[in-house]
Amino acid sequence: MASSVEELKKEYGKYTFRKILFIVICICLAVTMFWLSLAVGTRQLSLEESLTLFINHLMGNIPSRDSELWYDDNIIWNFRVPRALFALIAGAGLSVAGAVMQGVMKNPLADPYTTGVSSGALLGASIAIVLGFSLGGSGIAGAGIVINAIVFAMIPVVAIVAMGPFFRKSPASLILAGVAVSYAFSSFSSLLLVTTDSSTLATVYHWQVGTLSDVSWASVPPVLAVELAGLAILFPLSNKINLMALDDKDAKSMGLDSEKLRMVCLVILSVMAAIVICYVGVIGFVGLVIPHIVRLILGSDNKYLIPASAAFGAAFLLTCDVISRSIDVSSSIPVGVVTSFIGAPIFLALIIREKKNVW
Amino acid sequence: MAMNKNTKIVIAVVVILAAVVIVAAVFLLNNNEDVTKDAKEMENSELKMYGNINGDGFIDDKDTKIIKGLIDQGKTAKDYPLADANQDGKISQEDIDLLNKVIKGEICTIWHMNLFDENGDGTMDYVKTSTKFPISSIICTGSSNTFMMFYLMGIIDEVKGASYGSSIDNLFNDTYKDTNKVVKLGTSSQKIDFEDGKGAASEVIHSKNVTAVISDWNRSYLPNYQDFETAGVDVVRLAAATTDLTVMCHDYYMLGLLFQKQDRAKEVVAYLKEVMGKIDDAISRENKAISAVASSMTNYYSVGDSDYTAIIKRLNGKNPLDAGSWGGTTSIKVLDNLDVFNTDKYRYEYVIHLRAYNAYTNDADVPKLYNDYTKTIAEYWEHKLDGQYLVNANIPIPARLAYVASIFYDDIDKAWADQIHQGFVDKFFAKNDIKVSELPFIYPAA
Amino acid sequence: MMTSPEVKEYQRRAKKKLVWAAVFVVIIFLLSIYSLSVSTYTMSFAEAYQVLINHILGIEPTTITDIIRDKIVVGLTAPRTIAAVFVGGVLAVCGAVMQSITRNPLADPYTIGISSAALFGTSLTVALGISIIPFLGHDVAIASNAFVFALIPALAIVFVSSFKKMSPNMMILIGIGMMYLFTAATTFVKFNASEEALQEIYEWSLGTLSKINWDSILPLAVAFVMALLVFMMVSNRINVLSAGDNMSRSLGENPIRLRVVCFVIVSVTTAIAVCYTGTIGFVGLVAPHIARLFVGSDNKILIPVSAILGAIMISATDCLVRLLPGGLPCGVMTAMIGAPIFVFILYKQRKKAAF
Repeated sequence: MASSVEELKKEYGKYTFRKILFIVICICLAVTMFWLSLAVGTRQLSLEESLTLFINHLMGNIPSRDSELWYDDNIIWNFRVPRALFALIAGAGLSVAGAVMQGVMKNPLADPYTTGVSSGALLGASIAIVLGFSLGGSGIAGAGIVINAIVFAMIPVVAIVAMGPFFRKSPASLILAGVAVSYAFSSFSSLLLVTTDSSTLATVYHWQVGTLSDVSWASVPPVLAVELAGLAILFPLSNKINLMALDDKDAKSMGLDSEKLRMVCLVILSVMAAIVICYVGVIGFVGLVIPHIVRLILGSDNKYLIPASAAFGAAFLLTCDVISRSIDVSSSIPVGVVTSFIGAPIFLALIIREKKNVW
Repeated sequence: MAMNKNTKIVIAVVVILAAVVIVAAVFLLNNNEDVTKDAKEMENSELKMYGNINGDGFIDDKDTKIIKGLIDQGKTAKDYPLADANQDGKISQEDIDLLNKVIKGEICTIWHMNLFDENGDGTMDYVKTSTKFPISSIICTGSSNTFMMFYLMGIIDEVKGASYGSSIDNLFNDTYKDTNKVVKLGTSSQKIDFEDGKGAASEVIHSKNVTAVISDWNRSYLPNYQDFETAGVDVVRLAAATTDLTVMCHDYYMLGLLFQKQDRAKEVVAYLKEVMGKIDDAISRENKAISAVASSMTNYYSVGDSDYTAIIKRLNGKNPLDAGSWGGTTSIKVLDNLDVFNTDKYRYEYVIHLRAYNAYTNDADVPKLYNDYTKTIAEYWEHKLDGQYLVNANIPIPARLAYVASIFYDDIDKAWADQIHQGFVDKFFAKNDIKVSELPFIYPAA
Repeated sequence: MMTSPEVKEYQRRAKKKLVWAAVFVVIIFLLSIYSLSVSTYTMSFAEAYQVLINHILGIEPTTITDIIRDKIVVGLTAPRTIAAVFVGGVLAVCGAVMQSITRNPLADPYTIGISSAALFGTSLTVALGISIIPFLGHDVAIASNAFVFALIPALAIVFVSSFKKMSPNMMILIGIGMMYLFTAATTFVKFNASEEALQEIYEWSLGTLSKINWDSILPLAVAFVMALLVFMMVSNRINVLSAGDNMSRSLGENPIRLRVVCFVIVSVTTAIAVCYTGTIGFVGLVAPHIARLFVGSDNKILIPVSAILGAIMISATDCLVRLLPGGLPCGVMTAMIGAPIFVFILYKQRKKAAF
């Protein structure tokens, strides 16, 4: 008797050990990619040069304006470092938002944009660009555009929450509500965009497509704050989210108010997704595919799924960004294109080779 | 209970949204730009630079003498802002020293006006900026007018990188499109990324010691100019597509000064003044009401304010479509707006297609292009093909104006326009064997 | 017996459905006649009909204004009116079929990735000038490219289903995967395209009838007839699918094969419609739902009524965009009208067990 309990404990220990090992590996991968990413870009710098500049700057050893190193230090510190940090944070945030969305909606096709935040943000950005707000800031990350995009991105969320009393708050209804709101907002954006001239349309399109090229230090603190807050709230809820896999009635018998938790999670993860969209546009695939890949390796226990998605998502997005910067074409490749090109075949392969259902 | 929780969430989000909107509104309202007094002073200056006190096209000892006089009379920078060459708030010997350095071509920093749409209202404003002098290495946003401007000034080897789409005249294929000499910085003629993947500028800037990036006054060009300024690369903005003579002069004098090609600038501006004068004389002789529409894309008409409608307006033509409302755009599709063919509403004698194609090297099948561009319009327009002309847009602006004038006005013929155009070719192009009268810059050659 | 109350009730309901169908037919007829007089060229109804009557009677127009009017009404407005009916019908029928065979109320003809594949084909032509079939004029090249690429998702599904059993969800997922791939490829092409190309691609993606002329009518008619006839013939079998795969098998139906065949026909007919107009959204999604509200879910009558409703939707929105200034693409209007209708449908459905 005692020995079988011991064995059981050992088994379980091995089981959890594997999961934790995966998370640790992902974190190491993310950190390694961070160092590597400092050496990738337009300005040709060797790995040694980049790391030296970075560490020196970190320790306060900043080259003076006249020194030869000043130009490269500017590039490393003001362009590559915030971009890498943003990629890590956004990758983690979008993946967690996707994992939670899929768990809460019991739908494998859900991703963080299902509630319509992306169409709301697009409408906000379109309005800002067409009307010409652009309070300083460089390129598409102009403050006016970002603020407007955030404001409008939250409208679908508010709408869905407000529509709550009129619908059953079942997952399917919420998804449909999100889709409806999405369509409504897209149609307004289309109306606005189709009557402007082509260069405005090009700017809006550039904003929408999901590119990290315009990330600067200004973009990092807000996104960092929101994503950390979101993670801090969602992670302790992981046990409850596990329970959501049950029918709403069964979950109630275990003491969980599914509808309330669903709404709360939805609002939080919409905010997490919205803040990313507002700075860099819609980076697809990360929220949808990363949780699936992690599920295949680790299973669906949200206690491990959420942190693992965060770690893997961070590493994935940063890797995609590095790839998009290393390809030798004289035009720029948005990171959303790379994530799709890598993610879509993986996604298709997963579907086709699917043996056991993890959803 | 659930109802209350939901309402609470909604209220919370609305409050946050309202707070954000209020902050943004306050910020926006406090962001007024006032036109500085300096802009008014620079209005008639041919070279809009601080220190160019006499408003001509050059910095020379005429300017230093006048400033010396102002110092002796104890004048302040408040009364004579243009005399404060180094922008330190006072008129002093240091201003004269700076100008002397400029005259000698020594390294220093000059202050001048950039032509830029600062407040985003679509009109050109003057913005004070500083630029390291002299310039020997630049990158640029490559609209075809910008390239033409450089070509006329003989600024060829100094351009180390450019961003351009694909439709540029073949004339420049061995200069600006030769990627061995000029790095391609992206596929948009309006944007250059500073640091991104392979198609951005930071490497070229470092390896070729680029000190400035030259772009256009329009706000959609180089929206990330801050990235360049903070990295130590000066942004110089000019108006390459302008039809206004004073602005043209500033463009060329500025380039002449910055690149130390003042003699060339003098020649170019002299010729520009000559031909613009000729054009103005020619069109004022005939008092004719001209109603014309421009087209810059196939099956589109240009409306509102654009480079293309500006050509027509400059020649005293009228765009009848301005009487209608077409949404916010500057190009309308004719098949979606069939009323443009409604003779009860809009009547016009000419449709001028201003398009880019290879004319100098005679590579293009111009009759076929003409057919493609005019076919649909000819089906529905009252005059069909009679009055539709194709004019090459990759030529110096006065030549463009001359050709269109030869269409509009009866006593101006193509030969007169060819002569003006040939003048540019003979004086400034490095290709000796181009006879513009034999090349299809305007079709049909009526 | 013969006249038991239940039978009477059933007959009454069946008659009601037929009445609705007849009403819709009358509506589309009247709408089409009205649409013939609507154009961005300012004309009154009387003038427009005069032109038509003259043309039919063979009277040649003499004044310049008359010639232009004749060209516009006969050459542009008339085929556009006819095309609206055909395209609306095709999209709605395909939408109804997709919703039935995937048992998913959110399905529409584009669900398996047709719209993104066609958009990719279009962007290749517009932005890069690449055409699968060489030596074609610009507009024809766009249409042929869009058509060829629109067939790829169906081919992929056929291919996968040959070695793997596929549930409806799996088909949708494959469609979504391909949608992502094509969208990424399109994004890459668009990111480096000129602004005019972007504008043209964007308009195409919203869907517009402004490129329709008489050459487009024959293929569209073929697509319309094919979709309507084929699907009406198999409508009983599609009805069976709604009971679930296992139940269908026990009723003698091979659900997977039926699904794949339906997908292929949906792809082909939608591809034909899409290559002339671009991807007009919403009609395929919303028209069948509205039809269900009136005539229920029996595909035998749902399919034709959806077709008529789809025709009404596109006809009406196309008239609307021709009356408004600015040359809006039709797809913007269908989205703006379709979205609130969609929300309303959701509201109505909230008590049903379906979702």
